[in-house]
Amino acid sequence: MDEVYARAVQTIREVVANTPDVSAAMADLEARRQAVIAGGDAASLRQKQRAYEARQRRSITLCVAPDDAPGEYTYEHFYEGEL
Amino acid sequence: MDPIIQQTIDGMLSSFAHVQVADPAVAEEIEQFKRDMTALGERSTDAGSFMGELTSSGLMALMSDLMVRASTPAAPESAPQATPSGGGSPTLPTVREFLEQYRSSYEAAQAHGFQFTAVQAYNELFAVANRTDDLLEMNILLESEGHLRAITAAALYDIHKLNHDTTDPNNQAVRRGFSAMMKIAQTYRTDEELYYGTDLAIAKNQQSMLRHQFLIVLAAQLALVLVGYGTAKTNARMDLEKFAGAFVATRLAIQNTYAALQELFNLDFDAMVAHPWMKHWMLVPKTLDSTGRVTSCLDTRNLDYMREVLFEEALSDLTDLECLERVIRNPFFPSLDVSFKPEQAAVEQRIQAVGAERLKGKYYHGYDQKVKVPGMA
Repeated sequence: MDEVYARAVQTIREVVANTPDVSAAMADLEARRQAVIAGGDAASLRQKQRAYEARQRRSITLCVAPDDAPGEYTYEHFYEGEL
Repeated sequence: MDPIIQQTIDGMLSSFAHVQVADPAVAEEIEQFKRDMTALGERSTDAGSFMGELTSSGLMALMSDLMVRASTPAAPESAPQATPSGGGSPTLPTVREFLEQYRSSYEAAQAHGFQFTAVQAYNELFAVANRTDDLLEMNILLESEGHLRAITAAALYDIHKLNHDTTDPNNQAVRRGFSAMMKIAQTYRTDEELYYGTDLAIAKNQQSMLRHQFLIVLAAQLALVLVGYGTAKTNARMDLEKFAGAFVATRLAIQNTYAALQELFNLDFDAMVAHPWMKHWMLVPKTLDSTGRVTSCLDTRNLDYMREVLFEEALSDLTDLECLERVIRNPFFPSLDVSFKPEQAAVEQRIQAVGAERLKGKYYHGYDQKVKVPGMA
């Protein structure tokens, strides 16, 4: 039992020692955010997003479990305007 | 009270309605028995635990005892025996008449539509009347062949079988639990054995259930971050200044989540999608009926979206800005779920009707519709 306990303590120490510095992670995140903003073309991105949304369709899928044994479900798709 | 429990109690108590009880003491005991049954039904969370408690508490044995005493007024404290001929002695029932006390319970079992084993046990009980005309010999047969225990055991088996068959076969942990209970119902010989076996089965099944549910959490967690990526990307594209940070953080969350799935659980995206149960939970199912077999969920093509987002953007070498500029080939199909759009309730009702149609003809669905479980679709 002592050996198990000692190993657990050692593991915890290693995890704590390897925990990344939160402030460093925040600084990295901020640098990446600034890079995106500096290089981004806001108007072009909005245009791309609208084109993307035009390809989306709202749907609801009916899913029925298999009858007796484990296996794939049956999926049936219904789209907005078709119901 | 659970409607299945209510029906079971009604069926059992209706047996007493056909018996003329002459002894006021027995009549009072029957009334107390009815109160105890109702109280047990009220505090039981499901039919399975009710049936288990019914036997282990002794109420089932008490019912048989009360029925015997109620239907044999001349000798309420002893088994039926031959009556000397002569004036003044009450007439004892025939074997067939005696066994008729179980007719109401039998008919209730038939009406349930799922107690197939119990109906068979009652038939074997009634068939004893074809084998002897002697009440004492009948008692010996009932005891030695275990007919009365068989009725209880069969009722227990049938309710677990109904639960087993109703459960989604992919929900294997829950199904295995009901299978274990069915096996106990088929094999136990004493109340103590039933009680111990039930406890043991529940304990054994708990770990399996937890692991199974843990898999659901992993599937849902991966789906959540991948769907969240789409939202973060949309927001950042529409307002770069405000949402660029959230987009970068979401991408990092995907990378961390996926690394944990691989390293800690040896899972990967394709393995999860190939597993029907995990794939189902990646599509965020919403239960549409009380059996849990019919659900509405996200379009399965969203799995193509998730795969593309995961491998071609979140985990790729592209910069954050390149990810934002990239056009996704597989668009995300938003849900028509009514949770936030009450005006789409008609859509869900239509889907529910189609789902009910798919289960039509299944005996568990027929029973489910008959009891109309409150609070469920």
